[in-house]
Amino acid sequence: MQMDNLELSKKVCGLAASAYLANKHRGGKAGGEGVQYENWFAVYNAAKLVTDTIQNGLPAPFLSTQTVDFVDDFVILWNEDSCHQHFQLKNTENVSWSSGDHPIADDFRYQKLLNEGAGVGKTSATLVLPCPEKAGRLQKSIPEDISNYSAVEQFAFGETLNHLLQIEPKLRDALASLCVNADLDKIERLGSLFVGEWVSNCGTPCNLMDLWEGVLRHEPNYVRSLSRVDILEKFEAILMQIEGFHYTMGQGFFEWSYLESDSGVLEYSVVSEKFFEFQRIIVMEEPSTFEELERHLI
Amino acid sequence: MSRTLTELATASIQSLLDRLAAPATPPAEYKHIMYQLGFEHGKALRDKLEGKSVGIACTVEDADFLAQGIIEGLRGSVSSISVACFWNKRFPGDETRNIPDTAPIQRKYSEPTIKSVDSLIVAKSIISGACVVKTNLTHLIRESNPSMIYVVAPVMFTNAKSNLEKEFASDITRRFAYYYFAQDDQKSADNNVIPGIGGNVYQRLGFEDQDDKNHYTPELVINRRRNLSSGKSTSLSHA
Repeated sequence: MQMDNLELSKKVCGLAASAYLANKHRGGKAGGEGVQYENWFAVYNAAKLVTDTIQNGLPAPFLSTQTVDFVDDFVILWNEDSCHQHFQLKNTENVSWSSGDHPIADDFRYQKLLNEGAGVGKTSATLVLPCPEKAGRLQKSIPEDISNYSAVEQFAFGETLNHLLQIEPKLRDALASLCVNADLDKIERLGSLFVGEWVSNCGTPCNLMDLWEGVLRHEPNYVRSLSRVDILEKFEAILMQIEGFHYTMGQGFFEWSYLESDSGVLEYSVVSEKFFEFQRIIVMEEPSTFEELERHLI
Repeated sequence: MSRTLTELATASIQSLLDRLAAPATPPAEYKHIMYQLGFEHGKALRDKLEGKSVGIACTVEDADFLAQGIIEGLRGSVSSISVACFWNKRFPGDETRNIPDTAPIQRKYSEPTIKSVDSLIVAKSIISGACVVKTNLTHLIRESNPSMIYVVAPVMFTNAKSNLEKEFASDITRRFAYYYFAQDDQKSADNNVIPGIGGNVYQRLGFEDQDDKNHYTPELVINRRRNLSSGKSTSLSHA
């Protein structure tokens, strides 16, 4: 399919556009902030799509980047080519629809033609940029002929994932919806696993389900779950008699607090072998105070 | 390798730094040197923090030595001290592929009053990649709003400041002030700063590894928690 796009583009977009497409694909990505911006945006979409599809029992799409496409920074490919969502990311100062040798509007037009030629049912193309004012301005000035399949989206840029999580609520919320709690250190850990899986798959379309399973293979991942937990007899009784100590396992991890000062989350899930071992130690040692218990809360 | 000393590094501090870096220094002496360096940091901050409510954020391995030293060095100067101690576990990323290092907080001790301090001291025995510092600081500034943030470490790696500052927006980084005695610019093959603090701080303090140090509860935490739960004032309190 991907190599076919070059041949197809000659037919449906013309020789000049096809030569540009070949050159664009050959050039690849230079790295730096542009690639980082694309990675963060891909992670945001992957996390959001896990919630929207996999966790709702719906088919997962393929995700790709650097494909042989006119709009190729990030693409969501829905089942059997029913819909392709293309995203062009611009983390630069000067962005317009019509300037430069290869205007963004032209890329969007050619992408629509290419997808129609390939039999893709529905095409959307979105320009993504970090500045809210600029995004608003470009949204209002989308050229008329591409407006029914084009959009503009604002997505912040941060030099690091931790920085971005502090300033981009869309990314933070997408990851938090999968995470055991809303603490940024847990969300960052989960986000870093998405980044790792995404960059490992870069260059080839990957199924979101495969990417998600890759994330789940890491420990700790802090992914929320509603698994049923097997609790040893006495375990709960021992913990409940420690004054000021509280815990919950409702999100798939053992989260605890003591008085107003101490709190934590065990790094392994409540369905893991390690949690069973943790329970076994508590039952064996029968701590009666928090000071006897705390060294086990790791 | 080269080491640049700051104007805070007196001859006696230089001697402490040399002994810290020496491989032969045993854990007990190493801990005491770290305490003394913390004490010197506390003294250096006394004028800046006179009369202020101060929070000290540290990691479990630094609590009884560096952080306790800072608290003692500040004694008689500040109006109160609140403590937050973090048990982090570091997971290396891959800089070449833009995968970030992370250090999720497995456990924390955080006195409620740290949410309302004037100034926050983030203390760390050495700051290199700044991963642990940024994690704990990010956590704290989401629930507090200190007007000044003092990043305090006996030794910093040459690009530690830039590593730390790219983790935050400018409205946060403009509150940063750095207090350190030496800056080093080289690392060994196993990623330890040279001469730094003489290698891996967990091992120099007598822990096996990061899991081992995370099973430890510092005396600082135990004592302050006991005071807190018994209703006694903890805030250094009134040093």
